[in-house]
Amino acid sequence: MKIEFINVSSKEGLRNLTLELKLNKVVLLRDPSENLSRAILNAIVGLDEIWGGEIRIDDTGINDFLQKEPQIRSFGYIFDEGIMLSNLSLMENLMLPLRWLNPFLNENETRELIDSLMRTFGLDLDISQRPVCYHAGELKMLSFVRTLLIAPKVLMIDDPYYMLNKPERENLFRNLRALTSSYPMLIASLDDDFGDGFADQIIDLSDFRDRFQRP
Amino acid sequence: MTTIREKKSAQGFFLFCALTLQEVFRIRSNRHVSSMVILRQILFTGYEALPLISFLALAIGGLVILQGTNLLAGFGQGIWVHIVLVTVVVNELSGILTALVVVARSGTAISTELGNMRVRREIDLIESFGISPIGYLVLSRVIGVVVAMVILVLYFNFVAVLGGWLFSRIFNQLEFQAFMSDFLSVLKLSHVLSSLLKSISFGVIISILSTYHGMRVGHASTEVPQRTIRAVVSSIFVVILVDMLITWLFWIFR
Repeated sequence: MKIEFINVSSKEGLRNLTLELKLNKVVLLRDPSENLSRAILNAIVGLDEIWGGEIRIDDTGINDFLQKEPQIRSFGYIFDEGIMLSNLSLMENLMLPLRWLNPFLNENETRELIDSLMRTFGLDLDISQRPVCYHAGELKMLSFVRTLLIAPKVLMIDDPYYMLNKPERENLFRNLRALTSSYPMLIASLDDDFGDGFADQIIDLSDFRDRFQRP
Repeated sequence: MTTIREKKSAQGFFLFCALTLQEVFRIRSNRHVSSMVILRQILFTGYEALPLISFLALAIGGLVILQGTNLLAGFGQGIWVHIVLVTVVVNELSGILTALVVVARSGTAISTELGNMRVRREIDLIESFGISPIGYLVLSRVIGVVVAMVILVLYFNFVAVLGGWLFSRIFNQLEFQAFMSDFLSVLKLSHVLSSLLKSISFGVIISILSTYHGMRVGHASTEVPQRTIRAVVSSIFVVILVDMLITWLFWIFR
């Protein structure tokens, strides 16, 4: 997948940004400010308001591209805070995007996959509980499970280590490394773990500092 | 959603209403994820408000009969107390009082909940799934509040009439059949229609204003109570204005 930013300006602060991302393998966005990298991820999934310029995905305008199939099938966005909807149980949180894609989904069949993914991520949670019962790191790891249930074309991860303790970081790194063979990834991080030896391409966004203006 | 947050009050509000209306036409395709939100809203706004509504309706129905009997009996017109019950309770008080209860319970809850969801970026998460927050969070709540409001107003009227009879029974030894026969003889279709129209309108007003103010919260938690206060004040103001307008229209075309 090729994503092109052509002279893009946006509400979140992009200023005439021109950038090309080839998401065939793992691409790391290294941004000392962390604002520009987040703005780029947000723009791709439609969380930003584009004021000027154009974002093209595989030579198609982003709006046309996202009309072809549900956005979440293309981009699985994992927020730095691993957000869960606080008024739903963990199970309902996991099922929401799946139900959105498939109204006739069999919950029991999905349950096996959920349990297996939770084991992989070292999670032992009662998913009938609300998110408030668990700490931020566990919820962040669960947000990876939620995204992987959808099996999107690209994983977009904002600051993978944010809010995780050391064992959780090690576990996540191990899992992400295993996933590199099945998923192209766009990662925004300053952590060295995701640099050389992990990412196939590193884009240093400090060269683009003037392309971001705090809104 | 960013567009709505950017626009100034009136313009932003009408854009928000237009987007909500637009989602009405997509509701069939979203119903598999929205139906649970609608049911929960009906449960919270309707079912959980029943004890308070029962108490209010019983007391109001009884008090109207008691005051009306005292006042009209002095003129030898005690029989007309049922007209007072129909006019005051069915036409006016049931809608207004239920609306105030719904504003106090559900309007504040909706505005606070959505405001906090905005602060915690939960609305961004929903958008990142490709789900419309207006369809999933706003329209579902609007439908839930309107359905609950109609049921609550009907229930209020029923309990108030029952309260009226109870007080009539205690103070005037009036039989239920005689009371209901007098009551139904003065109740017209226009009274029921006016009550129904008011309940639907109030439900739409309260839910739209509460969701609008909740969704307008930026990223600071301090904005949540400020927006909730605005939602309550504007809901009460608009509900009373619309109540006067509907009463006036029914008075003109009576």
